[in-house]
Amino acid sequence: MGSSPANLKRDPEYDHRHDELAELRALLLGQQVIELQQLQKRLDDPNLRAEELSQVLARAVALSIKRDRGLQRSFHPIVEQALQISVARNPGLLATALAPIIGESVRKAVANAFRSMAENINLMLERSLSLESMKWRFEAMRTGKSYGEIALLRSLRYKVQQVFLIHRETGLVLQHISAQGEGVSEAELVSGMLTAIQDFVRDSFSSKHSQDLETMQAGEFTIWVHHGPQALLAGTILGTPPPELRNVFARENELIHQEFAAQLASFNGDASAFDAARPHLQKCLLGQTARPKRGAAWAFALLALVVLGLVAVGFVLHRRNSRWEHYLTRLSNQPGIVVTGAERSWNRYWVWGLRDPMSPDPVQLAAESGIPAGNLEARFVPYESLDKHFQREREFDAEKHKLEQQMVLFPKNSSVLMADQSIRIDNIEDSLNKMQETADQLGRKVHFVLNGRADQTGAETKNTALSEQRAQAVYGALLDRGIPADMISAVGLSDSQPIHHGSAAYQLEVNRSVTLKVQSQSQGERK
Amino acid sequence: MTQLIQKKICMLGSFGVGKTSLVARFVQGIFSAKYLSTVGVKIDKKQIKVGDQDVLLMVWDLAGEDSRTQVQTSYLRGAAGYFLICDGTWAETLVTAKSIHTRAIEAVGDIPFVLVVNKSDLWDKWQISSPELEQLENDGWKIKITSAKSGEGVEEMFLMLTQEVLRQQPASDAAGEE
Repeated sequence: MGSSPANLKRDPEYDHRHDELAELRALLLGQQVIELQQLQKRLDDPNLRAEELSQVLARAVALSIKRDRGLQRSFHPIVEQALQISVARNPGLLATALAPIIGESVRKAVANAFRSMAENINLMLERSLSLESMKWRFEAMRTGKSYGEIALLRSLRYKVQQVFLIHRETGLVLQHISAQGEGVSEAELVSGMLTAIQDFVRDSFSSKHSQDLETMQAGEFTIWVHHGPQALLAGTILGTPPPELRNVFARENELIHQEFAAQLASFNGDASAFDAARPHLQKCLLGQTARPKRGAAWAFALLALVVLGLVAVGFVLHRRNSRWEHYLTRLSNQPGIVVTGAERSWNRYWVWGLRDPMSPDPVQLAAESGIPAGNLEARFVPYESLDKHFQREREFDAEKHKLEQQMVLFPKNSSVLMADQSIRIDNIEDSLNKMQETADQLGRKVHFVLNGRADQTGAETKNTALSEQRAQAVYGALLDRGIPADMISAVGLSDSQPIHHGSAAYQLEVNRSVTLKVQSQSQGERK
Repeated sequence: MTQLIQKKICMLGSFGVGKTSLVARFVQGIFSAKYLSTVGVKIDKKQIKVGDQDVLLMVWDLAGEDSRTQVQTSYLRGAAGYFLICDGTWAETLVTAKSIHTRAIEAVGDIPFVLVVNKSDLWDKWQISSPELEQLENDGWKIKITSAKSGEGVEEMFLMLTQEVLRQQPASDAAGEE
């Protein structure tokens, strides 16, 4: 091998010897020569070297990492550049790979943000006390949820009406469901247009692929779109959806991407492969139905009733109070009544003090003031009032008593005034004048009736005439003494109303007489 | 394979060549034509049968191209095929169609398409020469002469494209992700 071809041609002897030497060498070194040749080949052939290296590369890298961090430092710029190239060439690839991780972490961050928002609302609402908030508080206590969570939940009303699963590339509908009674026959057109609008917005307002249209507002409808790498999950929502709903859309879309990765990648227009995805869409078909209006009306009616009740109770209390005050004032102003104490509870009344027997009855007065007599306990110690009015009343009563005891007697069968009776006429005249004076002071009208009588002996017709004549006799005598005619009047009672019913002589004598009856009226009573 | 499949196809061409009229002849839709001027696209659908296969065509009618605005090729994303529409009485629209074709290939690659020459009812004012169309046919272009007014060739043009799309299905699937 090492000798030149020129030598080989020139010298056959050499050739022969060389062959022998080679043979010897083969005999002596044999195996080593072959190994040497193989080794040479391994070093020279790059393909073989690469194959060998590939077998130990992983182990070598692992050993190197175990020893120190030199390899990481060496690889750092390479990995960085490789990623840059990958992103520049096809950003979708890395985005697809990262989507599950990013989706999860973003969801957590968003959930945190909303939790803190709920706590803020919690604080805010705790300061406001309303019937509603009491109810929420009770519900929070009952369910063990935070108050803010309940408030957020109860204040939001929404309904997801339709859910579309749309192939991102073609805009074709992969699956569509709608809530009961919300039919849409043109789901393909709607999802196509939804995709077109997405493209339109992306082209018109943003150059970055990542800036997708996630929310559209159309009157009372909100359209939410969750963008997966291969498919969009869109929902049309009536009302105000809670932020948690986004998590639901995101989770279901990610699950769809996991379960239907192969079908999404090879989609050629046959949507039947996605029938199995319906349960995922169904889970997005959520709704927080508004509380029935009836409930609100009922609560309102209850509130109105309570207010009305309070007003009524307030009115009753106020009326009772003012009646009581009025009664006490009236009682205190009454001559002959001294109120020393008064008390009341819910519907019982107590009043105590001093009372002149001539003053009006406090219980009677209470009834007049609208306080039920049964609920009132009045304790009054009797006393004589020094009030002028009462003194005059007493004088008047005493004089009346005295006058009505006076009697003008007549002989049998006669109506002629006897001389011995003239002193009695004088007394009567005095009494009449005195009483008239007192009555004037008391503001009373007073009238005196002269009652003539006859004893029960003799004929009745005779007796009637006799009794009248006797009354007339006293009447005439009093007029003679200057008593005004309108102050007195004369009546014959015959023998029908005897002073005594017996027939003893003295009893018959007393019945042959004229007595006086006082008729008095206070001015007010007359009217 | 009796399952209904959906396909997205696009209508491309100059302003005023009758794209929307052709679509209106063929489809059922719920969106009014004013979407075209606002969003730049209107979508309609039509179900047709090619052999045993039921196909639901989602027809994206893109706003026409004129001197100021170009067709937004981003709407072509995910399309299984497209129509290039020109006006037979207006030679310039064929030039435009060719330029749109070039941009469409840049955007979505080599997918099935059909050149539609509209307004066959106005033969006397025809400007596009037969040799020109023959040349394109020789280059492998599928061509259909139509009249949106009479309805001539309209059904056939959709059938033609759908057949092309279904024929090339495996290839277009492989080219799906850029």
